Amino acid sequence: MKYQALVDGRVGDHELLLGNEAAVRGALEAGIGVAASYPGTPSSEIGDVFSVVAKASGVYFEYSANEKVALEVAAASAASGVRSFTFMKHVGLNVASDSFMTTAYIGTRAGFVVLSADDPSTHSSQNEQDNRYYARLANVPMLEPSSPQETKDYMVEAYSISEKLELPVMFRTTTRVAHMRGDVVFGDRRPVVRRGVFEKDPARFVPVPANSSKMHVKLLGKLAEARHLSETSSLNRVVDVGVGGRVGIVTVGTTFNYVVDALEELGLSARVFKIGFSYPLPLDRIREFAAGVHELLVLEELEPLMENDIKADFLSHGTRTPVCGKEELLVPRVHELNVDVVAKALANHFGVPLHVPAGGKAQLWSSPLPSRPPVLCPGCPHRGSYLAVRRAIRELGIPEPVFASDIGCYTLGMTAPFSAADYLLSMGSSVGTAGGFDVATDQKVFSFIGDSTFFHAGLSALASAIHNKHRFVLTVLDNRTTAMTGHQPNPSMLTDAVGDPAPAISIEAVAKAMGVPFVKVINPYRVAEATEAYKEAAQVDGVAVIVSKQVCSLLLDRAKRAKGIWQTFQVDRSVCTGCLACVREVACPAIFVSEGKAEINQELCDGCGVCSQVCPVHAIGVKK
Amino acid sequence: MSPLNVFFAGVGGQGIITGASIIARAAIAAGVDAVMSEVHGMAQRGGSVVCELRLGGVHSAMIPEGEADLIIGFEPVETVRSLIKANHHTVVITEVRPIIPVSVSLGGIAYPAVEDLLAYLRSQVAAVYAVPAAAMAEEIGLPQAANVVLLGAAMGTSLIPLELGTIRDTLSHTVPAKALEANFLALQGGFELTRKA
Repeated sequence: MKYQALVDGRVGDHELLLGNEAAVRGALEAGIGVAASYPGTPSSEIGDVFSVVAKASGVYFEYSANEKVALEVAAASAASGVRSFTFMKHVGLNVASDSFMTTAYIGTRAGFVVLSADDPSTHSSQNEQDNRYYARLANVPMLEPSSPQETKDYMVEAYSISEKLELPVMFRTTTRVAHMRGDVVFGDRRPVVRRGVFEKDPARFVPVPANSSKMHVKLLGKLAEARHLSETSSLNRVVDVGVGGRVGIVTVGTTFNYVVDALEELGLSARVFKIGFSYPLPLDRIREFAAGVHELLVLEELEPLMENDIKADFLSHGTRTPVCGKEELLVPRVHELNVDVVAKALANHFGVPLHVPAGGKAQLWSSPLPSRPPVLCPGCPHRGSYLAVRRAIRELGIPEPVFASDIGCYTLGMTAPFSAADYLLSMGSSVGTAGGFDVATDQKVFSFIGDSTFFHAGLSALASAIHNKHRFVLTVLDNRTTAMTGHQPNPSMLTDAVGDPAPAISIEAVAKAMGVPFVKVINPYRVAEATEAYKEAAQVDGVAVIVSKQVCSLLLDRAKRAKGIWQTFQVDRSVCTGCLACVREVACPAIFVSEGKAEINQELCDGCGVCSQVCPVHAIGVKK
Repeated sequence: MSPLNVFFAGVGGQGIITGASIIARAAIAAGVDAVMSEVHGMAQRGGSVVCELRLGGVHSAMIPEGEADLIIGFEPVETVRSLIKANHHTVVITEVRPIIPVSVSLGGIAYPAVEDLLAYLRSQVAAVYAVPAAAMAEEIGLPQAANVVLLGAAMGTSLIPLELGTIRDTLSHTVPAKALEANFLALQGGFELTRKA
């Protein structure tokens, strides 16, 4: 079994692990019994690993329909005495936040950890919000590791803190920690407690107004205890870089790595206060630390949260040590940091020259290089859907249609030639915003949502749209998986998170049951039929739902290769007129132009055949 | 010790993370510290992908600008794009076969001539090894092993402080048994190419 070492590894064993893999080992060492999640990068690999190891480890794991449900499954498990884990990407916590806020009030019995994987620089997200605010908003303690080893170690510590305080603990990583790979030394695995008993205590677990106002008071008492734990925690420690450092630097998470490397690169000495237990901050210790240095620098990604807390604390205590943060050091409040940014800030602040690599830096290619943004894969069924919509719009002469998009691979349809994403907010927003465009404009609205996203947040939006008589065409791009995050299952599939058989919910049956007047299932690889379906749907006075059903080409290709049934298409150059309709309309990575005519890269072509249906002179056919 | 910085660049789906992981695993097995920074998620869908590997005594897994000792490029334009990490002492190994981005087909910026890209690389770094890794892997009968050809080429430069045998051992724990022989051939093929050069 892949990841066997995560299950069997013993004290002192070591493995090269991704941060996300280390989080799983940490949770297993802590003896969790329940884990629940909705996939989202940069947290996705945590679920991928649980899918493989959960059964062998005696842990229950599920992909819930969305992050809120996942958090609720984990919260109730923890209230029943089973150590529980929920993990999600940063914007997933927005979805889960309604319940998350209240878990702080009612607390927990067994350890309960909520991991938020933030994405500074928006590598795979719609925003780079700083979820450290959530710990402050909910008044729960927070830990932030810097490396895979710490990710593993801090998970164990998080469960201990959670049980000491009877509070959920927030565990915040960022892309560069989640996707950093390094050697991890294992600790012991605590036995799994898979089942507990829920002992009723309404005064504690039912936050009706009479109870909740008292709960808030209690919560603030726990937060004071958390502060005490943070003050004495070994996760907050001083690291001396060089000797005789007279400057103090407070830093956290991945920024710690950049600070140490940058100091060494510049040949500077400093005392670094590495924060691991980052909320509440150990402000007493930071004040004592500051008393021994000439000035205090605060380096952190995104928002100046530690900086503001420290500055306010120093002001109220009359601490004289100057504090330099974002503005003083010219460290941006946007995007992730790295060694270069930190080294520049430090070199500038201390008036030392930047390190120059041996031989000097290479010069970049002087003119722009062809760009290579992510694109829909060869054979991606979304391409056929977008192509059909575009053709239907053209044939019906619909002026200025609006495309309400959603979160998934299909958002990549925003670029030419499809230009099929005009507006996007969040998971499920295609359905709600489609209604908004309908009520506020006379433009025809086409919205697109994935199968997993439909169950995540599309269902209630669809009910709302039907009831409020909105008019738009909703396409559920049903590629039989949660593709973008690495092919996790969803409620429309026949298997669950650990590969067991599961009841599949039919999207078309759900739409019909809700009362959608027009529901049609299409195969996006059949361009003409799909186009006709869109022409029909566009004329429906109400919500029309098209379920475009075709398995993700990455999965299909794997299956076809395994069965040895592989075909590709090729261009007959003697027939090709060089009109390049295939290039313009299909925009497949496998099609390129060679001496004025289309050509198909045989390594990339997956044989979907969509291009052959677009060619007006039938120059594209199966390669013999 | 000062770290050895190896920068990998290519296109999503080329086996870049797998390739880098093999060196990292071999390093750990040989008692050399290794940290890696990987790209997962949206960028993998046919977009530019990088992977950074640092051997020996650093905290950040990301290589500062201009500090790569070795660049392993899986696609010529992506190799040139990664010059931001290069200095005049950097050694570059690059695949020669282009993968034309959709943006070019749609009338965007033209794909430069591979010879021009190689000539430019040669003007900027200490050494450039142009490796027909994809073609070599096809000849072996395992097109997916192009990344291992490039690993072999990297080992042939002697920049990586590991034995070829350690890489072979790691490969035998990483790839399926039926593909092992072809992977060994791919590794050896790349190795011979740069060692002789």
